[in-house]
Order: sequence, then structure tokens, then C-alpha cells
Amino acid sequence: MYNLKKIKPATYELPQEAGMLVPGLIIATEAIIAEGDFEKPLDQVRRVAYLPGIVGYSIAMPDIHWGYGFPIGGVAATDAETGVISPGGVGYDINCGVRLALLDRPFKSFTTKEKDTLLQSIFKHVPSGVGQGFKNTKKLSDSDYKELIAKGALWSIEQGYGLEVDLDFMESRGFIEGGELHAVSQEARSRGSNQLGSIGSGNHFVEIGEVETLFLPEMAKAWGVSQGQTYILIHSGSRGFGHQVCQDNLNDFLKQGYAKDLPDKQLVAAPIHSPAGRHYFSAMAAAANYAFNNRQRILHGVRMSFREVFQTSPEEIRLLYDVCHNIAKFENHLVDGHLRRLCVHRKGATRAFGVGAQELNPLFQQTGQPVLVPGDMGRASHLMVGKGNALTWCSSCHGAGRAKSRMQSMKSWNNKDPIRYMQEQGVAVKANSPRTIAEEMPDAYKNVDTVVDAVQEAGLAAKVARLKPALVIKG
Amino acid sequence: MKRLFLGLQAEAPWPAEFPPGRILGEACRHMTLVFLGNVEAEPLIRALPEFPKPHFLLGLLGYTDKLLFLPPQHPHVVAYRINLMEHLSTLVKFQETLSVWLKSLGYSLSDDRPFLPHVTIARNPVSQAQWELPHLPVVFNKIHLYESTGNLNYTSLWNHSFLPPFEEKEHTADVAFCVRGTTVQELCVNAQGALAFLFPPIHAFFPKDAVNSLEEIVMQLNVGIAKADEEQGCSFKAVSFHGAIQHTNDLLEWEMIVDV
Repeated sequence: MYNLKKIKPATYELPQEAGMLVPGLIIATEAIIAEGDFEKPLDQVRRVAYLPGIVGYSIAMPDIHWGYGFPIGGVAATDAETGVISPGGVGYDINCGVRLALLDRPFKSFTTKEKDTLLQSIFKHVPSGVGQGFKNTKKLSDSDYKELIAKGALWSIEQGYGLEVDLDFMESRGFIEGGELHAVSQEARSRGSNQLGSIGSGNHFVEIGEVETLFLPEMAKAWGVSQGQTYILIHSGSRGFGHQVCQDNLNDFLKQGYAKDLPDKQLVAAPIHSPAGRHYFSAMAAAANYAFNNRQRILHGVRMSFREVFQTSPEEIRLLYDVCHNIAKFENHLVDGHLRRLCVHRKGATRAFGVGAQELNPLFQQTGQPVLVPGDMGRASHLMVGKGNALTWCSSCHGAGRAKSRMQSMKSWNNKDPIRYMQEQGVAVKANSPRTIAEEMPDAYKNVDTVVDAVQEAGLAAKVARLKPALVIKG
Repeated sequence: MKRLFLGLQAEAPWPAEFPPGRILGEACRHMTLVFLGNVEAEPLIRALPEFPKPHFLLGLLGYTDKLLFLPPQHPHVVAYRINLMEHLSTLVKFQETLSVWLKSLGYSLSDDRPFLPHVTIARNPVSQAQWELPHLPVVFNKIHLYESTGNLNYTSLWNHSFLPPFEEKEHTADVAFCVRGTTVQELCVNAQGALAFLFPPIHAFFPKDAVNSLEEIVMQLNVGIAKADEEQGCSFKAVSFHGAIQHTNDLLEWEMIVDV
């Protein structure tokens, strides 16, 4: 099927064809391939393989679905000296990502009234939905932006949004080096000026529930994860700021003719060391730091809500990890036995470093890094541990992946009450837009359990715990 | 005898609620082209195979631009005036052709007022002051021969369809449209219309510059999205550079993918 050749468990090679500089690599089980429509996403995997300087494979995760340019769930590494960087390989929502925090109280100990009050309180403290930001607070000035870009998430912590210890539990300590404000347009600055600390729309959310099942109890214990514990999962990115950065640079790359030999303009890519490539990386790093600050402030809003309702201290809500899943990062990886510096594009894919990775904090160096895999708002999300898989440049999946289009979801929930349906499933949902809820219903997504099983079978990451959502705020 | 008229069916992202009044059902909202009144239907129905088909291939896109209370002397109808932009002269010519044809069939058309493109929304509003104009895109993809059956109900006795200027398509992660036009400029205008169907306020934010290529269309659309997002938030974030303009018969087609 699809001309795929199985080379390892849950790992298939997509043969190299004319124009492709490397073969494709698909992480999936037979069942996932049989059930999904892979034609268009695989075509995008093939096209990514045209990128100059691409190394190894053009890679697809089991949650792959049709994007534009890159597929969503795509990974591609280019040589850091001779390769290219592609804004489309990062995506519009630069450093869209997920963070998981834990509270050592059983979720079941909360009353229905307390849970309802908590949901209302988070809705008040954390703006969500189209264009929702902070209407009455000071807009970010250029000096704010400079600090944010220079410090990453530390900037918000210095402003009182969180704890310094939080930094130890973020990918790259919540900071991407190399950001420059001068690389960011006035339009991007304006779009982001009042959106810091807000969820946004689409598939972004705040989710609260209980740790339902432990798969690796020893690992869970090392990370302070226990069955029945309350978890908080936050999914958001760089809001309008990142979108504008991506757009500005796509425009510039196209005007400079960098799409000339590529099969899709959305793949447009400039040499990493060209002025255009450097400019994009500086702007992308700025947007990535915006996103770290955004999630930091959202967590702060959630901590405030817990304090209001349960009188918990901020320290009681412990950040376990924050991961990026739309990013390009410079990393060292073994290529044909030699350590090589690569620019790893992960678009809808999560870094999954294993034991011993130098960038991780001492705890995660011993265990491998947490990999956060949000599913859908009904079934589950997953906590995994990275295995440092060399074939995928230490990457893993980022979610369940959509099974239905937004249009199909809307149609299937037309004239029905999705909020009531979710309530009947034990999940309270609140959102600004009824359309968003209909588009984001569980049946719009693949079953995340099958996706993480594929990742585990392929040796990219291992399941640590299954998380069951109960309270969800959507954009 | 039947109460007949020819009209264009109006589709729009209508508001979910209107102020009190007798509201026309969504399927009945239309723009009247020629009103025949109470007439014998048979001669017209027999002649429909020779209906003078318009020369335009695509449905028409317009925007509501004024709230009307009609007729001015004794207002009891609430309507939205439609700005048909460059389509107005085309439609006026077509309306004249229709009138000539209907007269040739023996129908006398008493209404000689100038054509006022509008869509009736309600009758007998409780209070005019409660009504406001929503700025909406409206598309007209079908001509109907309607029979007015009373109580604000209109039954279609016959119709002629155009190719829609845009159609929403399936896309797994985002939102996609098939956008059509006879020129690159019209492709851009219709792409703007598609986005306005998702988020009507965005229409005010699009630049009016001429475009000559798909890249320029995408860039212009994204300027509008960025401005709208900055000023009031926008439910989608960007139009991608995905795809190319396809030439089919006399039309241009483009698959527009919108990042949400």
C-alpha cells in the first residue's frame, strides 16, 4: 500500500523517486496506514525530500495529516552549514507547544461545584478564542519585546508570572538563542502586543483531569507522577506574533526567488547562512520566545484560578515539562557514525531526547525527556518518555492527528448539542465559539492510543501515563 | 393564476438572530429580478427551455451596504441593499433582457422603477430602531422562478445554476476553498468573499490594489487577515502559498488553504 517498505517495527521507507534527495520514513502501524487516507500527506513527505541539504529521511510521524508545504507531523533535518531553513517547515504558529503541570491532589477529591468554579475562573483569568487577549492591560512595548526575546520565559517569571524553578522543566529552559527584535516587523509586534497569556482559537486549549493509568510506574515515580493525581495540560503557541513572522518571511523568501526549484511554494527555503535564512532564524527565535512566555503566563493564570478555588500555592502546581512542536532547532546528531550539526525542522512533531542528552536537566538526563501527546478532549492525552531514536533525529509525535476535516465535524454536529454530549461523557467544556467545539469534538481526531502505540513500537518514545480529561477550555 | 417572480437565491453567513418582525426563512431570501405578479404560469413554464441564459458563468458576489425600509412612503419591509460591485451593470443588462423576453411572451411588467439590488429580510418590524446593518458577503448562485405561496413562503418552480465563485472543500487540518474567477483580479475578489463568509468583518481590511499573480493574491489576503487579527481578532491566521492557478475552459481555479 502506498509503495511503502517496512524496515523496522512500525517503521516504513518511502522509496526515493526522481527529485527526492532522500527517501521518506513513515512511522505507523499497519492499522494506522489501513485506516487513514495517506495519499496527500505522503505526497507532501515526498516533496519535503526535495529540500536542498536534507539529511537522512523526510520523516512522518503516525499523527501525520495533510498540511501545506510540510505535512503536519513532519520532520526534516538539513545540514547546518550547507542546508536550507524553511518557514513552512516550522509552520505559522511558531513554537506551538504543550506544557504539563501536576497537582498532588486527587482529581476525584474535587466536588462538581468546585470543578465548575475552577472552569469559570480559568475562563476569566486566561483569555481564549478569536483575537482574545488582555484588553485593559499595557500593550507590549519594543523594550518589553527586547527583554522577552533576550530572556525567553525567564522574562515573564521576573515579572511575577511563575517560579524560577519552572525553567528547569522546559525544553531549552524556555529560551531559543539568536532572536532579534529588528528581524520582527511592526505588524507582528502589533498583532502580538496584547495576546501574551491567551490561548487563541483552533485546537488550542487548557485541559484538566486525572492521571488515569501508569504504564511505567518507576519512571512515573521519578517524575512525581501518580495515579489519580490532578494534571493540567496547556496547548498554545506564539499567537498572531508568530503567524506574522512566518508570513513576512515566506513573502520575503518568495520575492527573492527561493521557491524556484521546489515543487510547492509553501516549502520555500533559503540557505541557513544567507541573509534571508539568518533573518528568518532571528525572527523565528523571537517568536519561539514569545510562545514560551505565552504558555508561562497561561500557567500563571491557571495557578491563580486554583488558588482562588482551592487555596493552593503556586508551588503546589509543579511544571513537569514544556515542549515545542513547531520549531527549527540546531542540534548535533550522529550521521553515518559522525557527529554533525543539523537544523531539525519539527512541524507537528516533538523532540524526544533519550537518556544522557546533554541539554536535559539532571533528572531527565537519567530518564529521557517527557514527551507530551495531547489527544482529543474526550478520550485521553499521553505522557511518554523520549528514547532518543536516531532515525528520526530524536523526534516523536505531537498529538492524535485529525481524522475528519473541520467541515465534516461541523456537519456531523449540526443541530446537535456537543457541549451536552461531552457532559454526558464526563467532560465539561467551555469555549467562546460553538463552532470551535463542533470542530474539535473527539470524533474529529484519530484515537491517540493507537498513535502512541505506534510511536512506542517504533522505539521513538515509551508510554508513561495516560491522562483522562475532565475540564476543557477551548478557543 | 399564480403570483410569480424571477429572482436570485441569496446565500450569506446570516446572523443567527434578528430583531422582532416577520423574518423570511433562510431558503427564501432572494434578490428579485423581475416581478410578474398574478399571472397565468403556463406560457412561461412552456417557454423556459428558451430562457435567455446569462452570459456570465459564475455566481455573483456582493456585499450588504445599506439597511433599507421599503417602500419609503409606508415602510413595512426590512431589506439589505446589495453592492454588486462590477457585477451591477452585467445584472442590469440581464434584467433588461429578461424583461424583453417576458414581454415577448405576453406578460405586462408594470414595475418600471430602477433596479435596486436588495434582499428582503423581514416584514412588519416591531421597531425600525432595533435594526442594524451587518456587513455580509452575499452570493447568488441560482436563478429561480419563484411562486409566492403566502405567509413569506416562496416555492421554486424552476432554476438555473451558476458555478459558485467559491466552494468550501474538505481539508483535514485547516479550511480549504475552491476559488474561481475569469481573471486573476476576480479570483482575488472571490477569495476575499470566501474568507468573508468565514469571518464577515474581514472584508473591510483587504487592500484594494490590483493583483497580477497568485503570489500577489496570497500576499494581499494576508495583509487583510493581519490587520483584522490585530484590530479585532480573526478566526483564521493566514492563507498559504499552496497550489497554483489552474486554467479550465474559460475559468481560473485555485485551491485556497487557510490556516486556522
